[in-house]
Amino acid sequence: MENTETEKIIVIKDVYKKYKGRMALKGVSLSIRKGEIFGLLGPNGAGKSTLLSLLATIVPPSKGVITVQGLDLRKHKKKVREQIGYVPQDLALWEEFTVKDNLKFWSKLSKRKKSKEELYKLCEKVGLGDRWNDRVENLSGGMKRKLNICIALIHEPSILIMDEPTVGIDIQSKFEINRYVKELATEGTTIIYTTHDMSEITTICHRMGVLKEGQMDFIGTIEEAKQKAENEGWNIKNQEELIYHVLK
Amino acid sequence: MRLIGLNIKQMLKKWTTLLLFLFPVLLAVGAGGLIEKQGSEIGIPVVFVDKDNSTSSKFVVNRLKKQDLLDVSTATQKEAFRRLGQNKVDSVFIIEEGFEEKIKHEEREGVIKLVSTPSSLTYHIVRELVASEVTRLTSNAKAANRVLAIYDKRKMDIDKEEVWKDAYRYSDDQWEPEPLMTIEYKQEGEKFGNRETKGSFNSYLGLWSFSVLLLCFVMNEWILKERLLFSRMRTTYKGLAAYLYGKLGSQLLFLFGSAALSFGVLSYFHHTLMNLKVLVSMIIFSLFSSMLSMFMASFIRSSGNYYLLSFLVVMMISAFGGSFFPLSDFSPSLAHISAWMPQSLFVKASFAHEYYYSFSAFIIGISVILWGGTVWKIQKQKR
Repeated sequence: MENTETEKIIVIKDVYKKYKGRMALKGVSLSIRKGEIFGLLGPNGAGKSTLLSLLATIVPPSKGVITVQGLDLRKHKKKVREQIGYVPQDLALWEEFTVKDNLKFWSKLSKRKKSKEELYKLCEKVGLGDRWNDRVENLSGGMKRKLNICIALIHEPSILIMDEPTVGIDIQSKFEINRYVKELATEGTTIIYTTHDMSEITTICHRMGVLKEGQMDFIGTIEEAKQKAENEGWNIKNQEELIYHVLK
Repeated sequence: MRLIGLNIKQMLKKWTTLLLFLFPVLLAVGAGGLIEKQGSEIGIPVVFVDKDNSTSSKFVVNRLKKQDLLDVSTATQKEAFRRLGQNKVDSVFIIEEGFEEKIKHEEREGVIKLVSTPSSLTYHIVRELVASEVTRLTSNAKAANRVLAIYDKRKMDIDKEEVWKDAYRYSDDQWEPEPLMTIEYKQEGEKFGNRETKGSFNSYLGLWSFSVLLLCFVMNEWILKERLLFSRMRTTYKGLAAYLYGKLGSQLLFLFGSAALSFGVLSYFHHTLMNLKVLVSMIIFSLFSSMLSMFMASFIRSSGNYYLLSFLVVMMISAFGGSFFPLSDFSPSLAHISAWMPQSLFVKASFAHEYYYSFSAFIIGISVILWGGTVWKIQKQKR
């Protein structure tokens, strides 16, 4: 992946965000390339969800600039929303509706309405084709997570923002979701992914960023993170040690 | 529009939707009839102490016994005060000695003494009813006295007692067949009813307004349930506002449809006037109920608190607005509060009121403000 200015799909420049009287982000700068899976790590309360909320256009930054494909997020909110798909940490689904009806509802909130066939195809892609007419409340936790991702992909976004998309699910579902995320990246979708699971970061992410107390503490590849830890006198033997070190 | 259609489709998939749709009309027709029946059977307990024991005093007592609103009994003064002290009666009326004589001389002041407790809610209405009977007697006497005066002036030889009695009877006949306190509501040539003062209150529409308020609070729990979906909706192209407007549109269609059905059924059974103003008032009330419940739901986070507060608000608005009984008849201050409640547009037949249009506009304005507050609050919430 070449590191040129034109390939930078998301650019975050010196961003601050005050939230509930407290500075949640303090001068965060970061750029993410097209087709990249960028892992965002950090202890609880470090500002990960706040940063994702800014990128997802839920809240505006207090200070600083965020551009998505060269468009200022403040000025071109609607155009940016066409480009992004957001997978929230909480399951944003109507439990009493069927899988089909959930997809239909979310489809109507996007710019272009998708046909039933298109929605079904998408559903099949994430492995929910056979549950098309089932009510969401009857799905397993893993299936609900897949549907949560599926909804974010309805309008074919070029950027996918995923806030702990695999939290609380079984290993098999986690594996399937990770495989699908990699597939999406291969097809050109840029993915920002937060998790507390280091194995997910090492398996699927091209680069990672570590947020600590609202500031970006580290940005680089897994190898670079290991190298940094070793330079600081740590002997990293496994993923657990690495995550302990990067989050310390 | 696409979201409204989809919302309605989803509503139609649930069997409970039909039940909710019919709930206002079922409650209004079912319980309204029951209240009307019981209302005519239950009267305000008052006791008369007849010290005069004359034809006129007995006439007053017997006339008042025929009033649906009153439950009249007679007793000695001691017994009457004992019952008043025990709150078994609302008021005691003492017909003083010389009552008939005073009536014949057209004296109204102090002929009947009223003793009531400060807790009496019906003081005003009972006093008016008794006063109206005394007015009737004194008016009759005044007419008979006038006839005698004319004969005297023309120096005609007559049996004065007979003439006086005839003139009195003739004057009294003029009060029949209509009851004394009759109000006739006439609207664009149609006769709404020939009801006494209490009758202008429509218990069917009163209960309908209560059920619509209740229905709206139940329906709008979605704001609490779907809170987690709102942040994701903010990231969509059309945004959260589009969803909220879609939801509002489908709910209003549902409520307006239900109001139209209720209006049709109630007017078919002659429980309300077949008048467009009644229907419009019902629609305005549905709009207000929907907006108020959404506004409250947007400010409350837990379902328990929402239902508790909803119950209190529904009961207060229904009670003060006169959904259960015509509270406005009991005291002027309650009447003032009641006049500012949205159901005052139709439960007391005030659709014929001169301020109907401005008050309707006021309620619509309040509803719009409530809706603005709801959208603002939901948009402001981060999660």
